[in-house]
Amino acid sequence: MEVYDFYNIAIITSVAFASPILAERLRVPAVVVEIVAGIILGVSFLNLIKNSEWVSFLSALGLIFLMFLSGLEIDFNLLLKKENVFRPLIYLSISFSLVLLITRLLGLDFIYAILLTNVSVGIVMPTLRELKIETSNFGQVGIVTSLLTDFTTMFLLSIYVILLTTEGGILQIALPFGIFTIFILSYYLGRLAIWYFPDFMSKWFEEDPMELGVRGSIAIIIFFVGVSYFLGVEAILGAFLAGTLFSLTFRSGEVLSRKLFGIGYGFLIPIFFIQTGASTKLIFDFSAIYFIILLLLIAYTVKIFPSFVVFGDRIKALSFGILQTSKLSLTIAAVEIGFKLGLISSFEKTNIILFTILTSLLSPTLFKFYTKKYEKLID
Amino acid sequence: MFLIFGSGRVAREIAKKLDDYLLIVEDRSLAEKLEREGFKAVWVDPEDLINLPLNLPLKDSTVILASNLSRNLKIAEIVKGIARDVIAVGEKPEACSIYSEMGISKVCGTAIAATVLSEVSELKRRYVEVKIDRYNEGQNLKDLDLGDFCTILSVIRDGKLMKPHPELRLKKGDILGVLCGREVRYTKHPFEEVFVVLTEEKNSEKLLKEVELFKSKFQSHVLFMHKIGDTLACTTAEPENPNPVGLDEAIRIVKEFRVKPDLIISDVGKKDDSLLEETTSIAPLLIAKGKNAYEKILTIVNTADPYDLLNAAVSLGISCKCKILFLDVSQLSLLSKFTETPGLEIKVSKGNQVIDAVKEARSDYDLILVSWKNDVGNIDFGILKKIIFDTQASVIVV
Repeated sequence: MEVYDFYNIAIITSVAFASPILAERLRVPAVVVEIVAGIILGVSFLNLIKNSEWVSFLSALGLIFLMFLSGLEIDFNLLLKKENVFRPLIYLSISFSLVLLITRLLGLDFIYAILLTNVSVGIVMPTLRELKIETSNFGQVGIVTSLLTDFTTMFLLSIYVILLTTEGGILQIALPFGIFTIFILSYYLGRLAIWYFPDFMSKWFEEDPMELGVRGSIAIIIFFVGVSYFLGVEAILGAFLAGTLFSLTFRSGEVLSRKLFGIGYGFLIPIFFIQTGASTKLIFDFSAIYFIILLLLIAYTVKIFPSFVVFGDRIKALSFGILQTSKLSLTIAAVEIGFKLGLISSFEKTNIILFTILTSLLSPTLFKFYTKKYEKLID
Repeated sequence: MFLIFGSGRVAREIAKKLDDYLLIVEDRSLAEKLEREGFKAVWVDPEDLINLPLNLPLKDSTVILASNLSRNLKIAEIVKGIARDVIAVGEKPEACSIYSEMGISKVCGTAIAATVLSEVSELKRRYVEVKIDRYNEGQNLKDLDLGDFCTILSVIRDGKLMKPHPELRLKKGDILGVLCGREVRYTKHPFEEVFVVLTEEKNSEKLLKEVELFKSKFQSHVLFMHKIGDTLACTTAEPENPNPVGLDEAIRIVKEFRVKPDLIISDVGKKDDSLLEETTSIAPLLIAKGKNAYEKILTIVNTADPYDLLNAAVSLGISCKCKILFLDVSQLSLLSKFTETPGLEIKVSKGNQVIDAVKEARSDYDLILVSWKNDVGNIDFGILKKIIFDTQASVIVV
């Protein structure tokens, strides 16, 4: 480890510390501040954060943790209730079909369909909570839709990456799908562990000086990431499946979740976002503006149009569609993966990140404005 | 409508508190006098009581018997089974037990009867305050029988709140806090009507063991559902060689007859979601695994509406070790309900709710109570069914 690695990490951790404080004052998500700070301190302007092996390693770990926590956040208790899923499923199906059609017509890669469909649960939930409508029918449909969309898009991304990165015979193509077999096996093993060793398993979720739960969780994440590499699958799929496995098997466990979120959002994940910003090269020209406007148009169209099918009411439909257009962390994670695989260029990466930041600011603001204006009509 | 039989003080007090009533008086002049005083009263010929069902709209009325014991019993014989409900007002404890034997709802203690009846009959209010007058002065609290639907929660004397001890001697001016409602009846007689459904012959002994437990502990009236040939039969006596019957078939019959038992005891081992759902919508289901006694009981509070579950837990938990596992901290607000129940241990899940529930359920319990609603605690139905069917303990699914 070189001295400049420490400088790099010192700058990044300082930014990570200051971001939430600044974000609170500016009333924007902390992730936005982290990316913008990264852009200012990175190659585009000050060039203070340089690329290094250590930063890349921590950033990769941050992405793995982000994917793990995204899987962990999926509330299967909500998703597995038939009455909850019907409307969100219709909404998602129409939205995704529409985005597929538009991206195909524009000759864009499939990853755009995923990026434009994806939604940030981290924005939808707090926005609904802020307006105290999260328990209303509208709020519940909104939360389930965003969870379902998150799960589906990340799942599709994983499958797409598998199909892109594997070549050869049937065995070579089938091998990466082995990760799903391991997932299912692990799920049943987890249930058996709960049933036959509840005393041991309960230690994972209680206050324990040895932090058995944290150690076990990290071991599971690394196991899934390792198996992913072995089977030729992207690490993010392994991490996402590990989080989903946790959520599906254990369903709850606030103490352990808090600790894992602490490690993730308190240390590793900000490094990923700051590094993403730092490695983004901003180029201002008309083509960039045109590209961002085009993305915004498509994003709002594919989210607002299907809401009219789900909600007959014009105001509900509009506000629902606007909120579902919010994008953030997972979209940026997907952009990073797309860039790494050569599916999107540096120009596209930069502008999709800017587009993501714009939706994360624009959508909740518009939603709040619209909802407050027509308060009585929302419920 | 309320048909009040009687013309005395109690009958008039009750009438004053009700809107839609009719006083039925056996003395013509007294009926006329009451009418002049502004009461709605009619005279019936005491010799013609047998024709009461023809002359009065009994089917749609609640009959309140507020006369003396012999008249009340005579009228009860006639109207019972025809009137929508029959409530007797009695003063002496022996009268109350006679009414109980006849299967008549009763409110004993005439001075408080009027207030309580007027509230309870239509359940306008759940909490009633009754002032003790000279008629009940000197009585012990235990001698005031408020019937199946009401219970005394508190006694206020000279502005001070007192614990309602059974031996407490009442004074004039005492205020009784009375709580009325369906759950009160359940607390007093939690398992009065019990249906038994044997689904497999080999489990007969196990099932009957637990039926006996309920009979001895709760004086339950037991109805055995079994088959004679192809026909489903119901008997109050234990059949000698009972033929098994499917729980689904038994439930269909119970539903057709629109009866609502307090408990269904069965040996069912089939993990059939819809059958469990249908059964528990009618009554709690005890899946009997042949326990000789319920010495250790666990209640897993996995529902947001846990009153039935907790009432059953408290009823069963008297005189044994009973643990209540709350899966959510917010449910602790219900705790005040049980603070005075002896032998009760409260635990709140702090780690993982599913694992905590499994850990407890797999411990050495004789009986586990869970809710099929399962809307609190994130226990998935696969694990819930394992708790119900694969543990050593008998399980009551509410």
